[in-house]
Amino acid sequence: MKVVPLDPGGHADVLVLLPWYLGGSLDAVERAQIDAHLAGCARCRAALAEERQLAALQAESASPTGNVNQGLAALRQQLAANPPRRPQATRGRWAAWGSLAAVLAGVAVLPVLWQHETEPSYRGLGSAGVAANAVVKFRADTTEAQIRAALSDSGAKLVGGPTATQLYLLALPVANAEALARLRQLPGVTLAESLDAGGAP
Amino acid sequence: MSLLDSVARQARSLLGGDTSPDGLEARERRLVARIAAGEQRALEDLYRAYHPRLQRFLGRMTHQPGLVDEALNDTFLVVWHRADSYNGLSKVSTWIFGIAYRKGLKALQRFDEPQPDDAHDTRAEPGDGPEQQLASSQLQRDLQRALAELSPEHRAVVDLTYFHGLGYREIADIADCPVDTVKTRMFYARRRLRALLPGGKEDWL
Repeated sequence: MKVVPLDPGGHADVLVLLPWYLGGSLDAVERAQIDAHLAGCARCRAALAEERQLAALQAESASPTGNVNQGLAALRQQLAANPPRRPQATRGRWAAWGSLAAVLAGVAVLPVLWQHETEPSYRGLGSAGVAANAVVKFRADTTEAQIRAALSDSGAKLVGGPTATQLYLLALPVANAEALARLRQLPGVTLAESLDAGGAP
Repeated sequence: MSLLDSVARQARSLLGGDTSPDGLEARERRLVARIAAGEQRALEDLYRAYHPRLQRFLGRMTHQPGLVDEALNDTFLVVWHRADSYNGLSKVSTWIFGIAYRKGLKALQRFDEPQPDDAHDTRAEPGDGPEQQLASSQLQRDLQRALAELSPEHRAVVDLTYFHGLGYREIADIADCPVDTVKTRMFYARRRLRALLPGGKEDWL
């Protein structure tokens, strides 16, 4: 994935996200963007080293451990003090929620609700089966109408976003250099990169 | 993170079978469905799986060890009575931690703990609590004191991020707040904690 590093003034975005970068919970676009910034910024690399120390300090700190059996015994007493639950038709309610979620996400109704989609939300915004092959960023003052026009002009489908760093994931008919160059020339577009090329995570 | 690993192992051994994240989630969803159908054994299985994690989380968030057991059991009473309201849109762990978060805050309200912003609070001097006694080094004791100065909401974000390894979106779901609030809380907390590190300063940007 080719991602343009954040501009030199972009330290703030990177610093804010470092704990989750370290913890591995960022999405691929955010991670790639921070990788790109760190490669060229000694200051943020130093902040990352400090972040590692903080995280290690937290993780190593001892936790008070209670006794699970005692806790469970207390819970049983509390449950005994309450009238027993009446079984309810929960599957019906769950299925209704699942169908609603599926319709909202634009995906087919899942045959087994237990295997409900747990992908990051940015992937859930688009149509099923459409993979993002490009990422685009708009100027902060770009209007929704301009964004719609840009997408329409390029034949792109919006697959997800905005991410925390205001990137949108697109599915272009063909994500070649020519298509990306056309995107970059559209009003409001500040970044357009392919997600297909390169080997970033 | 050996404690985290052991917690995860314990959860997996209690739930048995497939140890992949998807397999674990599927099993937890089945447990919640059985709880909703009134099966107390399922509640107890889920309780055993979550007890270590919630002990840690509630202990860290409230900084009042005396409140942890009560808040934890209050959490599972809600799981018992409201399992049928779990809609499957979030992970089971997000749902349970969200309940625990609210129960932790409620327990603190009942305890009427003076908040860090209060000009003259009446808390015991830092260093007196069991967490400080557990601390193995001066740095760990300093960490506990610094955490005690933060609000419960800030401590919750710190623990969910560093110890439980959750992403900011999931934490926002747990705390029922915007993702930007999670990021701001974490940034503020890190600035305070960073002052503990050798050569550390609070000002960052």
